[in-house]
Amino acid sequence: MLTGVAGQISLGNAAFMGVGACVAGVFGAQLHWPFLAVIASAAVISGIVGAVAGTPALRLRGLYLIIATLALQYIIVWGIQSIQSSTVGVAGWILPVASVGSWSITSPITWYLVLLVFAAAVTMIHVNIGRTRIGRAWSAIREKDIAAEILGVPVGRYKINAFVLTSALIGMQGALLAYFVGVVSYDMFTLSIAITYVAMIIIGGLGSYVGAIYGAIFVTGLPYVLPSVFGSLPSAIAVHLQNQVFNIEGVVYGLLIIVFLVFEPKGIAELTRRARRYFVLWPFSRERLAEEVE
Amino acid sequence: VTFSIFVSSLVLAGVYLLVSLGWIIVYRATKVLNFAVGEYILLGAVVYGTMYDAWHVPAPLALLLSALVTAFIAALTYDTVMRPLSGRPVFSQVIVTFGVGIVMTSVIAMIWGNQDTALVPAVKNKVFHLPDGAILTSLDLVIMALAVGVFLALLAYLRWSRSGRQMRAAAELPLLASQSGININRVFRQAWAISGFALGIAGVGYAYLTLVSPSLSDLGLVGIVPALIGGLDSVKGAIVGSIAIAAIESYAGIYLGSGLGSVAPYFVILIVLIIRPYGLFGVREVRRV
Repeated sequence: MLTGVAGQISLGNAAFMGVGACVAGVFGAQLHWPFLAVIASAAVISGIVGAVAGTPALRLRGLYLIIATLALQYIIVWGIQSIQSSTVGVAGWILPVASVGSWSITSPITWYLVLLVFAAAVTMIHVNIGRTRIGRAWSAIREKDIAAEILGVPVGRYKINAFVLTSALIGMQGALLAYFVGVVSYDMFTLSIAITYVAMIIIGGLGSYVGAIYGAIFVTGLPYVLPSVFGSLPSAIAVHLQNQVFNIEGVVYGLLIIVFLVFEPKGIAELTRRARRYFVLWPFSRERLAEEVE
Repeated sequence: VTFSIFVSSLVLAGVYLLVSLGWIIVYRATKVLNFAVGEYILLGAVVYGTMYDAWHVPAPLALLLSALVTAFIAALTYDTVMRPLSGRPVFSQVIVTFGVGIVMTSVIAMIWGNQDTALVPAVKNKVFHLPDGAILTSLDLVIMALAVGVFLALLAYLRWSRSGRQMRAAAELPLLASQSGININRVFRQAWAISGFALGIAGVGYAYLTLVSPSLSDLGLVGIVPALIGGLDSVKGAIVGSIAIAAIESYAGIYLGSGLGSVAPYFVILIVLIIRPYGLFGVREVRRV
């Protein structure tokens, strides 16, 4: 959302997930706070860290901001690492089963439903915020920050706002992840995770909510699809490929990023839009008609 | 002791110098940051490892060949990926280099596997003792000499050769440069190739200091720090930046613990970015509405 809406690029997402998860570790596993309180405090604390981390964005744009968030990624992960080693050690925090009141979330299906609720809530926030004063200010900053400033939009404040909100959401997500996986350790939050998120957005379609969802499904689904594809190949080749699954996944995934960026920057969202339009217009596939329909 | 730490950090500075050149040359010419830098470094190291250790190619030739391989892959990257993306938002161009990096890491892991290997020393290991207990090995000296040599050669090339001048012109204003008959695609491809060449050599040097292992690619990201300190578009600034960062990293590693040592460059970069985003010697970015 940060990238799509406010035009601010961040590669520090994994780090903020780490912050959220770390909060979950400290509050949930060590202080035994209840699940919902932990999730909420993860969001709040990540938001605060986001506000601090967002300050470089006041002076930096474009490439320099990318580098700054990259540096933040390393610094935050290092911070989590030192908190972890001074409290629980190498193994990381082991989280209790998430429970609300007497109802505890254990089976994958309940987890799925809970996450679905959170995802829906976050998507609602995304969609609706775009229509508010804040959302419009963010769009203005993305298009041309100097112009936005001249029009009276306090650019600095809104940039920080965007950082706080995104970090809070990502932190919350991190805490959820922590409960879902059950273990938190600093080495879970690498730069490649951050790139995975950016890749989801790109493959799905930049700045589009539907796109982000498509992208997430696609990228997380890939590790499950590949082995079954190999299964259908002749066994001699399949055995050889099985050993390389991880690497092949990397190749496919990197190539997807490249291919989408080069040929279809608007991602899957655009592909489906086009496919839909194709069917709507079916016997007549002329662009002129397409414009009339839209 | 402080002096000896500084002396031993100089070797690292030499490697950083080459890596930051890898960033700077591409940035100067095409205004793109190439985040696949680390993978080029790794490629240089593994290709060298195979040639020298397995095929027994003489070291200087193996070095040259592996640098040329990296240069070729870099030029290929430009033609296949970066060129179609020219004119697109910076963000896409940056992310696509991450994509290239992921593909390269995986392909390298497929071919060479994931294990760490130590290189057989290519020079006789003689130790030189300096005052204050500082030591330099002959290997250190060779790496430093190589770094400085490649650096000076590139500086001269950019300054005096015909294509070096063209590269500067194209960096200034691509449209005008192409109007005056400069083939900017050729110039940009050349910039990528030169960057790849420097990175390949950096990879070999760093592999000698540590091991040939997939983690070599981490050096790429750290290498942007010296480049930024000097200013992303300043070749000369890279010298100051590399020496400073190598020294800071070594001192922080010794006095503040090794964990902080490796994070120290990132703290420095944040501070630099906030105070002087264009670096010590870079050109201040002027914005128009």
